Amino acid sequence: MASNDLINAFHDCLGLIEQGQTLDQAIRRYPQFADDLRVLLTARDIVPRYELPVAEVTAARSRIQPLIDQIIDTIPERRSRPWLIPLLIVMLLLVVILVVWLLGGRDDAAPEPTLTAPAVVVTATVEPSASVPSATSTPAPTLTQTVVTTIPATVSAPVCSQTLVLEGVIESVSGTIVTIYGLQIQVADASGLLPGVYARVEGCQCDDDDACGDAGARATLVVTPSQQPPPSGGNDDDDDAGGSTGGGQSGGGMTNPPPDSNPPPGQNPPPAGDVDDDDGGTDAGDD
Amino acid sequence: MIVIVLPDIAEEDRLMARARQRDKDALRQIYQDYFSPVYNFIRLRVDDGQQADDLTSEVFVKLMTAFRDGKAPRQSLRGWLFRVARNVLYDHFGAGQKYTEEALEEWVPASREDSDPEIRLLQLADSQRVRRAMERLSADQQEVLVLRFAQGLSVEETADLMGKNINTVKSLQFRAVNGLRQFLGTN
Repeated sequence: MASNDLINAFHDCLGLIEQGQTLDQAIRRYPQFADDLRVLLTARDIVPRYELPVAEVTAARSRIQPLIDQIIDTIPERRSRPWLIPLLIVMLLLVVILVVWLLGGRDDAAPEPTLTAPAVVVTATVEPSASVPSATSTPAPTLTQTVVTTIPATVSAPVCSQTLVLEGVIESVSGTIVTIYGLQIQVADASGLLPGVYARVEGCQCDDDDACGDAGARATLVVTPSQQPPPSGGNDDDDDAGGSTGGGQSGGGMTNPPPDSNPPPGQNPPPAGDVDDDDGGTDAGDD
Repeated sequence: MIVIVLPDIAEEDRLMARARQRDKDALRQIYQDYFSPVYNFIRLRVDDGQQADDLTSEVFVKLMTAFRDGKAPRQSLRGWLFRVARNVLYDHFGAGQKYTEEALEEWVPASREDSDPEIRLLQLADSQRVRRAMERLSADQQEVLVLRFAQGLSVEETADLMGKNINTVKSLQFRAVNGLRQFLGTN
């Protein structure tokens, strides 16, 4: 039984000979097995010296050749397509451009209806003035903010996220700037708006910069001189009118209280929720 | 001294690349280059020449079909061919089919134009002894001798082909050569 060392030495020598070394050069590495390796490597060299007769192999190849040719002829040749890769690149670019264009177009189109809505622009209208009520009353400054349902953006309706209602005495008028409770409101036409006049401001706050941006405004405001709230101990026939704007307060000669005056005892400001139900200053003349 | 010269690996790779593109010239070139080693491998185990033809054609039909169906061998082409040839032999004769006496009778010294005539005469006289020595080897030893030294496969390729590990193939090739030497020495 040969040792593993001899088996490995034989294998190494085969590798060296395959790499181009001579038999003697290969054996020199294993002097302890030199005799055995020489005999083995010589015997190994016998095998490649034999083969089948060339004529037999050639004849066999020729006999089989027609069958192989027949199969090869049925194989469809794969044509090279050098234009395929550039075509794919161009198509990919077109797809990218299309996607970008579609996305950009959507952004431009979405806010379009609200941009054209006329209510976005700040407007101020002054309605025919009602008489300013009595001076004895001390109207409570009312700042009511009622959140209403957001109106979907449509072509015909402005986007109104919040309705603002402000009532109070006009503190000053400077050009087209009207100040109520320290808030400066720019109006288009300030005629008819005088300091001391009780006024109502209704607004529609717009949260969409794009929709309101053209006018530089954030709200639609309507400034309306209205009646003063009912005086303390006054009649209560205006319950259905609701709130301080309900008016229903007749009688003239009232003077405006100072803006910062407090309501008299027992005179609470009207509940905020009533404001929206109010008809505003237009009711004043009815009473 | 090597009888069957297989195409080198680089050339094989180039041929394979063209064949994968179904280049018909490359497919025919593969048949021309690899027919002889495959036929030799099969013929030495088959007595009947006609049967050897059939089995060899079966191997190449499988190869061409593989190229047609896009299932071409991805690594060693010759390894693939010998594995298929081995499977074809097993399908017909079962495992352990030894080289037959009749087939080995066909095994003759390689005809080389530059061989010394005197050496060729000695080889012819000696060929009977070599064939008898080969007959005495086991099927595995015969196969290792042919794959390693006649067909020029590496130990790794031979091990992969025979489904054995490398150390087993090293041991097999040693015992095969040693057996050949002993039989030749005693006869």
